[in-house]
Amino acid sequence: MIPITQSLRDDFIRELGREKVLHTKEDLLPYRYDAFALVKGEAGLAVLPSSTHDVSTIVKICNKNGIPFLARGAGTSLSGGSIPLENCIVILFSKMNRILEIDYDNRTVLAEAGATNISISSAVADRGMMYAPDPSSQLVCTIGGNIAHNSGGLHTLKYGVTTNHILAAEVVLHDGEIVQIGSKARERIGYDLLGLVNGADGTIAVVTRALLKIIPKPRNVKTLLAEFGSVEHAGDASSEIISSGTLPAAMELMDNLVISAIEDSIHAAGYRKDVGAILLVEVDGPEDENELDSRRVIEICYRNHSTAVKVAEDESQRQRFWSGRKGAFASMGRLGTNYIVQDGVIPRSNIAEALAKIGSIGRQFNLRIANVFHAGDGNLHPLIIFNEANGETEKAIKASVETIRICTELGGSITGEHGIGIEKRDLMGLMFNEKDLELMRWVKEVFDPNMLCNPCKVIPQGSRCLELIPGLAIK
Amino acid sequence: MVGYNLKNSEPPISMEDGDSRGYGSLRTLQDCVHCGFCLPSCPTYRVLGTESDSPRGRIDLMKAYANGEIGISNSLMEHISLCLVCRNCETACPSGVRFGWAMDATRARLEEEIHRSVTDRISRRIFFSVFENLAVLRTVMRLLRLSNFLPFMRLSRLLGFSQFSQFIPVTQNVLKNSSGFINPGGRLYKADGNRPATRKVGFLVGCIMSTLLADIDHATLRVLNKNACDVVLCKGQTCCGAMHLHEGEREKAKTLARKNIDAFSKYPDIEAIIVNSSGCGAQMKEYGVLLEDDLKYHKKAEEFSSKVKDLSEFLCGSQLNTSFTSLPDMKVTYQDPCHLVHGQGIRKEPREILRQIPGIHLQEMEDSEQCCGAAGIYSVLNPGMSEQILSSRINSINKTGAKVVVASNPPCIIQYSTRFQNTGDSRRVMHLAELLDQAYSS
Repeated sequence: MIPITQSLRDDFIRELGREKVLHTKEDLLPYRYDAFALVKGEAGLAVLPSSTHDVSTIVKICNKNGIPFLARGAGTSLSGGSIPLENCIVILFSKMNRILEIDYDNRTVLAEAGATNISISSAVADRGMMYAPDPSSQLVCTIGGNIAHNSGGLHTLKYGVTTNHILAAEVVLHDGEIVQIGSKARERIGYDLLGLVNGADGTIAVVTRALLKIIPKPRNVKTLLAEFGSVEHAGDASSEIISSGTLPAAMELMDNLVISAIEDSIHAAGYRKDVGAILLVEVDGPEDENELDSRRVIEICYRNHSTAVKVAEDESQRQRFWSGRKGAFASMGRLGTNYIVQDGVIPRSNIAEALAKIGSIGRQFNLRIANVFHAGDGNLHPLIIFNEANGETEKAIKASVETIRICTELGGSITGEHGIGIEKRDLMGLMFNEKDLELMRWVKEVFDPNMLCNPCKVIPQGSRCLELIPGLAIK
Repeated sequence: MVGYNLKNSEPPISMEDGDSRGYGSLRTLQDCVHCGFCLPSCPTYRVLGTESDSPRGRIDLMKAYANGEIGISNSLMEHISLCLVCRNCETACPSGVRFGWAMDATRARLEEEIHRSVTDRISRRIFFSVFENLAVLRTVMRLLRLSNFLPFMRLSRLLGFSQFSQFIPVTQNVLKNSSGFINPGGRLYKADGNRPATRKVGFLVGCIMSTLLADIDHATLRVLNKNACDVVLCKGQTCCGAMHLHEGEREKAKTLARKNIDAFSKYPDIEAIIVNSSGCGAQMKEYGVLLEDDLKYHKKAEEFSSKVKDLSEFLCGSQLNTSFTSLPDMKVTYQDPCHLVHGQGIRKEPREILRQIPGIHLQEMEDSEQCCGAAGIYSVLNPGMSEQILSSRINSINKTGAKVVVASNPPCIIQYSTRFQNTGDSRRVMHLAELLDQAYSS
């Protein structure tokens, strides 16, 4: 690890100006975290570029001096993707948050990487358009971070994830060269390099701008809230909805523990705290189809022992239904001091089985596990509640690994949308063998031969990077 | 290689010391889960884009300082003092972190430990003392009104108040036009004869409100009288202590709180304590928190707090007298005062009242819940940042085309009227009570 010397700091100041370089201990301290609170990093220096040219300058200095670097948007990564390791330079995108062009003819928006997810939809809302991927943190999280983690959101089920909504990106390569990948043309020719940047957790290059697709906002939307006595019944209902041929825009399942936490927080949405589970289903489309779909969903819910199904009567009630779900993770502070949110994927037909197994893991480790997940695509988010002060951390990590093991055993994946980051790096072995990982290392080396771009993330790298989370590495 | 030591990542905040150092209020920091939802709500983060000037970053700094991980430094002081304590982050926080309490407690601890120069200490002592006694404050204001402002500018510079001197011309201008100061000597303002008096309420006259902005207090009294209230100006009341608390003078704030509790408890027949300035309202509703470790006063404080009602909250909760005469058509926009919306959760009531006044057209502005940059004496201590924050508010107001900004808190009123006056802008800022008063009397 190369220390950040005075002369190196002066290099940055000379090239960027004093106000764009943060270096005091207090300036840097808070960058040790993002929304993944288990690991603390340390920033060597933080810089505030205001243009792609600035970013290129920064990366050039880093490359010349062999200093690792990391791009950070709002720091809302749930897998530690934006935590600085190896004392790296943190490139902040909070000043690069402009929307540069709105092109309704081609239905695109060109934005800087630091623009918040919601700002894209807000910018085109008056023309009845929207940017589809909507992570729960959309008020805060940035497009750059969305690309890094290939983020999804509540409406992933119907509309897809970030990679389905990006046409081009401007990136800064490891040596500071600025390149464009993709264009306004919808066809991609040759190898899918844009696909490589998407979901790479920022380990391939630094994204500075993105050309995003916008789509018309659905005119008719119905949001249904179905209450169930148990999670299993809700899980069965969600499977039946999918197999019936209906494609909801979103379908979310929350268990009792999550519901209670939400209702005790500022996100209180008026959910009943005495139900076993809630299934939130949103259907959209042309009016008659919409009506048909919602009737079918209601029918299926009641057939699967729903105790009540409520339909949002207006937009404000719809927002209220969703506000609880969107604030679910952040409300966990109400249940305990600490929590780990997992992000596993299972084939959706196994929901009830997976939930039963997760329940038994909770009993085995004597920890409370709350469940909230995207039922439509089998993306589970078990929330493991623990108290660090009581020495429960390692136990909680072990329990969380077990939930992930269940997902892979059922033929699923270790992450749905939160990315690998630090959190899942040492779990890659659950899905990939050594040959697969070696191949990934080659790809990484092609783009980042000096291994400077967001160091120690995604791919387990043996002795180069320390075991970050004790108890997490799988043997 | 850096070891990322998980086990010792976050030592719990020690709570052994007494409350005088505000440890109780720091406990809330442990509820932060680093989600970052607070970032876009923070006015300083919006301007600077740096984590240390965001709520989440400041929480980390406050924790690190409380745990002894970092000590006092210029950089720490800068990040802490650049916070407006607007509490917008509390509205945004899904985990219910009471950021304002923690910041007040942190500032109190810093104030004990930092070294201030002698002149600095003297000027702070004088400044805060003036507000601790309303009679002294009235005298100072009278002198201000009478004297040519130049000697005052010199005197204030001499005392180290050079930052404040920019306000003197504005202050004088306001004072020249205002009617008599209000002296809370126990006087009763009887309800308007046209309606039967049904309720008796107490009224906090406020330090700035009863002097510099006394017209608003007079208007408030008339409005309450029109709404069938006998209003008593409870004797012995003083400044609410919000300014002291936010600037780290926690013990002084407690003394003032106790004085007010004593003063108002002498009038057991009042059903509510009405406040027309949101900063004071938020402060008085939280006396229970401030005095949580004061065995003698804690319970009394909670009783007191439960009676405190913002003027709009009180009027909306009772039957608002709507026998208005129509005002000339007027487009107004509403600035949510931070400590009303984020401190007390009141956003609907003032709007509901505005909509009932004939002639008033309420045009909402973008981001009306964002701070105007006044924040008590913040605009004096951090004029550069305050100006930048205010400018984005002015941009929002410009888009509405409103001629009047309604903001029911003294610092907001002074902030906007200073800007309007200095730029020759014909727009005005008004308190809700002034609009109501006009609608009743015109």
